[in-house]
Amino acid sequence: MSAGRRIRDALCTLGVAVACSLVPLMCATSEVPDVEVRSLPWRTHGGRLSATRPTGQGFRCRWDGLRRIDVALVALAPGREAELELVLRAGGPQGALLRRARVRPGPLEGQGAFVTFEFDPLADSRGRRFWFELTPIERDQPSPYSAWVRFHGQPGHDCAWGDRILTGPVIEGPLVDLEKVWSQQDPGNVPHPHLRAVAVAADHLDGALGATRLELWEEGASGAPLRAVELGAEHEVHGGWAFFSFPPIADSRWKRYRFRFSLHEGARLVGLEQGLSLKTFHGGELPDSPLAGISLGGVPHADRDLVFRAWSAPSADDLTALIVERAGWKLVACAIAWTLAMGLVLRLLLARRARGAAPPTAGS
Amino acid sequence: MTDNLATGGGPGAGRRHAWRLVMLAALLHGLAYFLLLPAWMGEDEPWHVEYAHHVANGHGTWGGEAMRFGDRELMSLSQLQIRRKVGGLEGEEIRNTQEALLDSMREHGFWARVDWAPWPVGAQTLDQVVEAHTAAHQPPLYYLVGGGLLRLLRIDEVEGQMWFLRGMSLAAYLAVVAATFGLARRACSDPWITLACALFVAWWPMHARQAGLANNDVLVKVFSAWSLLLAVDMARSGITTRALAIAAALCACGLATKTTGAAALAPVALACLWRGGRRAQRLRPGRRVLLVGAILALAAAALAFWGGTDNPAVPRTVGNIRMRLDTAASPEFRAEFSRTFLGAFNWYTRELPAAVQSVVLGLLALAGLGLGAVFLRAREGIERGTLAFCAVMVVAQSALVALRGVAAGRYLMPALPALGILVVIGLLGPLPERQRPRAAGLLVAALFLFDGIFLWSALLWNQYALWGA
Repeated sequence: MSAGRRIRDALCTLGVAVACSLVPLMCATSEVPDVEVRSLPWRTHGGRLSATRPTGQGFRCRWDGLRRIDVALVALAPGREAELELVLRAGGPQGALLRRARVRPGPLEGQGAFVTFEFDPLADSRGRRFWFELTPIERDQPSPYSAWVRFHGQPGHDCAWGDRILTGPVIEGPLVDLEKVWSQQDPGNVPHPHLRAVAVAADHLDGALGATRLELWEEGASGAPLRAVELGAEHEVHGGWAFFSFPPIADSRWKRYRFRFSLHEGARLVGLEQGLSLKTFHGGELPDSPLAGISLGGVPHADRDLVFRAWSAPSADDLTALIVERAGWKLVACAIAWTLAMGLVLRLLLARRARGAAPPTAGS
Repeated sequence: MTDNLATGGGPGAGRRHAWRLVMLAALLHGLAYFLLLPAWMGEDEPWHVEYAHHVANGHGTWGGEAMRFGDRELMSLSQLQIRRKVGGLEGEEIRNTQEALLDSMREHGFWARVDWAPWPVGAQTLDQVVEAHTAAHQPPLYYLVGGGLLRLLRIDEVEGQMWFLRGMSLAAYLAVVAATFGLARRACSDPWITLACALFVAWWPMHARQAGLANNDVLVKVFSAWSLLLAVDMARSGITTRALAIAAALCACGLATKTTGAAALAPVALACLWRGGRRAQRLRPGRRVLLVGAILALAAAALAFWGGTDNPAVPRTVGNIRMRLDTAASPEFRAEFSRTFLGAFNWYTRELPAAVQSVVLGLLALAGLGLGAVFLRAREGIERGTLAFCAVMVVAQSALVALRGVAAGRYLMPALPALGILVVIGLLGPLPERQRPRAAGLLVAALFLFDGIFLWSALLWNQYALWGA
């Protein structure tokens, strides 16, 4: 093969490799969120957003140019629409006000959707902590919208929202039996270790009106409860999941517990014929997370996050650095192997076309 | 044909040269996926590695301990299922293996990449990733081969075992490309079409991705591809005892690897009926009785398997079959199936952009029209008999997917060589012979572009950039 042909083939290979790799690569770069809580399916929402005790979320930005926040919301009062305001602060819930954005989310069918709040970009957001709060504009009643929440734990017992109301002042029962969790051989016990929270479907639960308390005993035990949690005055749950979080019980797997909820007047829990709508969560906290947890009425709760994503304006260098950091040498080796593979095929095709002949694959 | 121009040697030498180039290109292409797909990002990989790990530790794929009432107080469901299948396993060994798998998955960002994976900290059993999931119900061959090699090579750590099993997948991918090359030569004498068929299978992104993940789907497709090739040979040249024995062995291996291997029985049976019917009539009465007996024994074995298997892939009642077929007929099933066949990432939680999917589906539909034209009117160099075998394979595989009732594109992969040949001939076959080289070049360029979009704008970003916090 002549030197000219070799150069032409090499250039052709390079051109095809660039066209087939860099062009798709360029097209993809605008769609990487700075921080994103990915949690499927959306399991729990916190109840209708309150104007008096707004729900917030903290996070740390990776890049400069924070410009947009999407929050996963569900509409709990069909037919009612309302406006929401997102307030962005520096640092924590009491930090300096940076941006405001108002949105009318609309009807939000079914499980809801991400609702977008856009604002003027913050040029120097890289590495900084931010906090945003969602507040309904109409202050006379709770918002029709509820924000989806991801608790930090594996779901164990995972009961759906029920169809009947249970009122207090005391509701007791087994954790988890539910007629042996409706199956032939399920032992009806707590399935995983490190039980660290119980979420219960609740309505009209307001910390300002009185205490709401959960006590847990191991089955058959009496005396002081194994865990006791009282929700603070910052909690206000209208048609949402109330989280009772406590220090993990390391050996909870395959054990049975008994619960007792003490409710203030007017508070209601939701359940099924078999018992309360409860979810258990298991595990521990992640170190080095960019997420700082939620806030309720300005009080932080680091064990759960809103389902949200924050968008900034990463440069091509930022994205390249991110991918190189995560993929390392494998990325380079992959690109070389991929280009050489195409080069070999092109060599075969170009050689045949140059001779005006068929490639040598036919049988004789 | 002018295929000796390539090397200056004879036609065989030219063909071998082209074959070597294509296989080398496929090796590099598979290697690219092998390198870029992060650890544990193959669907169900932890459970397949778990099974192979126990076999590598000297346990058999038989003799497990039956599940008893009350056992769920002792172990989680995935642990009980592996104990039920694998002989001699103690609870501690099962727990330690699952914890080692979970540690490695945590180290490689499994929870950041898979959107439904709930929470990494504190997980101690695989049931805390997916409840009651297991590979223990799968036929044993993949684990016997993989686990046996792991034992031979003394690879003990689960992560090293995963990488070795992925290496096996790369070899399996090459074996399928080689089978496609051979099958395409039998389907069409036009070398441009032959080349395009082999490249289609090598460059179909979801197939190339299988070169970099560990599961039994990668092995069953090898048996299916080569048994189809043998079926075509038997139909073309007559049945020999050797060919029949190898085809039967390949089918048996396929069935011993995964139930999706059953589709390969269809072309082999068709070849036997086509070529063997008259021969059977000429047999002496005694041998004919033997043949009928053998067929009845096979049928009885199939029925016994159907009655005795605990594999959820196999429907056990007529009602269940009807339910699965109803599911398969739904638009949601078709959408999920095409999504996972064209391009899905991070355990199928993310996919290619809708526009790309539409364009590729449009091209496949165009190929379907072209294929119809080829079947209706003979084209130079194209053997419609071989195409019919490919069509039988694709239909049989699709029927199995429908009966499985689970919309996963990888279940069609054992028929990919047949499908690739049908698609390429559907696109290039109706064209006049002189236009085929240019069209083949365009098709290859389109494959390169599809692969580039898949790899660089979808797989790379989904695996390395779009992480959940």
